[in-house]
Amino acid sequence: MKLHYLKLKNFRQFYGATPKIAFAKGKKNITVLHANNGSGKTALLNAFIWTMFDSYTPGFQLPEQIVNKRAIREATPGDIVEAWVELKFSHDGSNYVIKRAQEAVCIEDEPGWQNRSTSNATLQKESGSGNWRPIERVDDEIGRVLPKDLHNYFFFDGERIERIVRPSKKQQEEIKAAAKKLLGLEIVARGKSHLDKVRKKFEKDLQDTGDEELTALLKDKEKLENEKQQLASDVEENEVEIEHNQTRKKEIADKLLGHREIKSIQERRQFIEKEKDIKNADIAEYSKNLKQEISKHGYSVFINKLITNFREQVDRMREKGELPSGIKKQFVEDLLEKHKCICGTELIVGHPAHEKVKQWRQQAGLADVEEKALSMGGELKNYEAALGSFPTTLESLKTKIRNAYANITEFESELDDISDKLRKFPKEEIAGLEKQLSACEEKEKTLLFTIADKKARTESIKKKIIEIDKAIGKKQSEEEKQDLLLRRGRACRDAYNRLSTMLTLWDKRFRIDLEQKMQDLFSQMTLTPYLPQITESYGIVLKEAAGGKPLDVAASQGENQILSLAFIGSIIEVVRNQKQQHDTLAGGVDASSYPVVMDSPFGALDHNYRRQIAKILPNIAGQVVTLVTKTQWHGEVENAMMDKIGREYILTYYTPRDDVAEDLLEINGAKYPLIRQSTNGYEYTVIEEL
Amino acid sequence: MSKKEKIDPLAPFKEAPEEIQCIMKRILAFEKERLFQTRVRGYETEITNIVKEEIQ
Repeated sequence: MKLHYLKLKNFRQFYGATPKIAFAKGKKNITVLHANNGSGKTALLNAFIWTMFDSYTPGFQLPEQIVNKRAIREATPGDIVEAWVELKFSHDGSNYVIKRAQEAVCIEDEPGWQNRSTSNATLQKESGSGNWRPIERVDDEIGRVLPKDLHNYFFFDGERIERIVRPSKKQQEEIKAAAKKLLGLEIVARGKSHLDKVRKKFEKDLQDTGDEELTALLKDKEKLENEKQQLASDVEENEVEIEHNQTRKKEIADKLLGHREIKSIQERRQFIEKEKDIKNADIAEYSKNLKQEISKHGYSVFINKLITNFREQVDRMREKGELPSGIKKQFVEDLLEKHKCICGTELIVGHPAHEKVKQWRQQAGLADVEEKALSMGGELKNYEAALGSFPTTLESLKTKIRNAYANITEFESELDDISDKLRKFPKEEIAGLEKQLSACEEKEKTLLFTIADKKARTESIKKKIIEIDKAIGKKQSEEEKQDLLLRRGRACRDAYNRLSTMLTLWDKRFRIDLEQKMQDLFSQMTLTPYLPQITESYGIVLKEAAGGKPLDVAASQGENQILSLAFIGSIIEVVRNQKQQHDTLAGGVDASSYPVVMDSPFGALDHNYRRQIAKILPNIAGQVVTLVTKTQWHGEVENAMMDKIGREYILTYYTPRDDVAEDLLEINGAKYPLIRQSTNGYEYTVIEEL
Repeated sequence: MSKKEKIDPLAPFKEAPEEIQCIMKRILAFEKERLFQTRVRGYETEITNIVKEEIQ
């Protein structure tokens, strides 16, 4: 998607028609719009979102008030005043012009206006022929260009962007869904879901035509599948309940922390809880190592006796003089063949001399045994060495696990004491809060147990379904129809399973690539030794690994902003790479040519961060449109971006107040007004290209 | 699996028998066409027909 121009009329602060705001592209791909706070930066950002999606950002106040107030006040009651936004862009070889309009009627009563129905969008498309044609289903066509729920990754308010990295569970699901759409995976998920329904339909048909045994199997399967679905939905509900419960626990803990008289106790509790979490993580790590150790060296316990047997056998042979053999079998064979001993005696078959030499052949055969005994002796030493360290390693890990459990028991006991103390605290409010906290903890334990139980039941059901599927597969129907239904059902199941695996692999690959790219971008933007990590559910955590084991870091607001920019940049980059590597079956949204439109991207950042981000921004997207204040722009940001600026605009705010000093913006030695006094008593904003 | 090892998400498709590949391709093409359309009915009928045509 490439932006060409934006034009507004009577939209929010912008009275009358603005000139076309043409956007920079190519090597100088940055468009900068300068404005003071309150002059219409957020309104301009929302002009994009409103016209394309009939939506807006959370910071867009009074969204129903689209039509410019001056335009309404200049009208007489009963007049209709129109506001509109027109955006021209191109995508996949086609040009588009979308125009969304909102009409308001001027009325006598307060507030002086009233919207006429909802906004209305028209879309024109030109696909290389020069002929423009209207598109009937505007939302469908825009959805093909950029799905609605992805707009906040491309058009965003920099001062609120950090929310992207602190997503709730619902938002994590949305990120997951957005990633799926960008990679074109939504259609794989839909195909999978529809295939499953079709498979069930074939099996139902088979049930109606099949023999009794097959019918019974299919009925059993249907019952189990319903049960499985119910369990999955129950687990989902329980998980949401846990999340709510955790939020409630956090609220209570914060309230407790607010009581000065127990602040130290509450802080101690939070410290112990953290320590307990660390110990639990240690146990998981030790248990994993224990498993690996057993799987790698566990066999050595069983070969101890075999080694002893082998050694005894070799010793016995040595005692008997069978080892070392001292003579090679080939040497004896040669003497017998030449019929002559080394002493010169003739070796004639049947004569005693021949018989004696022949007996040596038997003994010489043991040379092979000797060779094997020698090489095995060496190998056995390695086994013994492994056997030697294995029990020690095992014991050491078991001791660590025991100690960690002992620590946890101590922590739990102290936590119980704290809880007990607070429950009996003289101040009623504190005792009450503690009781609520205990109730939340009990509830969480019960829910976790219920979830584990339901998951175990689901696993058992899955196994039963596999067994039934096998039994159904074995059923060889003589009737052609049944056979066909069986094959079609199997084909659906096969395609479904493959699509499921593909989705899992895509998700895994996307997360790995995204994390790597994000770490790369984040390290370019910051001087800290922190590394962002992406959890399986697309949560983003910042880790500090300078001292060895990575630990969680509480990210500052500035770091969260950087993380969010790195996250958006990484999504664009990873999707572009994955699309280039293979033209996916599904064919996703081509994010490589998407613009990024940002309101105040440098909001809460210090000088270093601003400089770093300003350097990286032009590279994260095909086009960058940024709306900035004078303080956000001057200095390091201006210097870092100067060479990449293709177009610059200024938003001059006209105020009716006569006590406000004019404010000027200086660019390349020229001065431009940011604030001016209005001569007609109205407030409005004018856009001009620099 | 090591993070550096490349995962090939298309492997399950590439390893599928020919008729399953055809079904998968056609279903995904169908879903792509319908993805951004609202108020569309008859998914099951379309997909049933694809499976019927490929498995005869």
